[in-house]
Amino acid sequence: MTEGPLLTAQSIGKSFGRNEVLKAATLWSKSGEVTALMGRNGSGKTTLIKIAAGRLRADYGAVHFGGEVWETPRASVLADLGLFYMPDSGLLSTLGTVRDHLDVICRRFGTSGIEEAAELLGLSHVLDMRPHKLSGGEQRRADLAMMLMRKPRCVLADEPMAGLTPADRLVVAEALRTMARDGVGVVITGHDVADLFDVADHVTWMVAGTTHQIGTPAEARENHQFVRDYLGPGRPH
Amino acid sequence: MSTPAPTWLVIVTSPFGRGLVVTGIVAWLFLHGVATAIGVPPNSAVSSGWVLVMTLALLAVELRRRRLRDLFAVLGVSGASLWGAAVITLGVLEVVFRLALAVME
Repeated sequence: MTEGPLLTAQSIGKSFGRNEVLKAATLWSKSGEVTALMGRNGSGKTTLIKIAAGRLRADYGAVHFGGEVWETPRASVLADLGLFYMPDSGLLSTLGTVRDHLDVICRRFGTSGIEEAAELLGLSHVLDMRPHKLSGGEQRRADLAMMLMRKPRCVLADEPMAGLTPADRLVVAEALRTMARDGVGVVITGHDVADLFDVADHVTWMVAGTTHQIGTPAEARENHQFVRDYLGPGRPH
Repeated sequence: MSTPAPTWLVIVTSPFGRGLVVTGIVAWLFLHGVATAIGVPPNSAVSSGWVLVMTLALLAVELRRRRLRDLFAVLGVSGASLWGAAVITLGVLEVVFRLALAVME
């Protein structure tokens, strides 16, 4: 990819009290690419992705999206411009069925194809159910259906494969790859190296609040420090 | 692709918006009842202030409990517009309520 990033969260710093969580961390998302943001628990992945989505205010740094630069981006404005943030807790409210969620996205953004998206993601049989009756995998697939209906320019998905069965992880990975093939910039976080490497084009590694751009999954496997400190010395690669 | 509808219309006509509106009105009525029961005149500033603040607090709890904040963020609804709409709606309810009280007196 030679074109510039769709979204850049540049030199982001964030502290909670005396705990400095992010130190000049940078995250970018390019059109047609899946970026895997990897790091140990507590390394600052969720904080960085929330700041990039406008859900949390940074102490310093800026977010570039839609041709503009924001020091204090607002989630609603970024969402209007085509950013889709999928939190690790999911998007489904207990007030509506899966169809209600998809319908509200369609009406808000002028899109269509609820039945097709539901069929693609194996949700046809749960369209008229409320979230509490769905399995974890079905809830995640419903989040993905909302993402597909939105037709975003950029997706930030926090741990989209966490706690899912292998079959559901495959569905999530395929949906994200399809989005990227359609030109969407995708950023995902997670811990399962095999899943993330399968879907990613680029790896960003977070260590103690700072990011390291370590290239493609193949290049990451050759990165001695990444292998030693994150994958673990005994891990085949 | 069809034409996108105005955000407020989409929200208010969705189960998510309707749920919030019903919660707000029920809370508003209940809180006015509580204020009256403890002897605060229903047409006083104290009563209106108490009802407004407490209704907004209950709506904030409902937003979190029903997990609506992330959904509204995806829909491009800002917190300022959401709370602005809530304050305006409650203000209109309060005016209608006082007019009704004045007519009854």
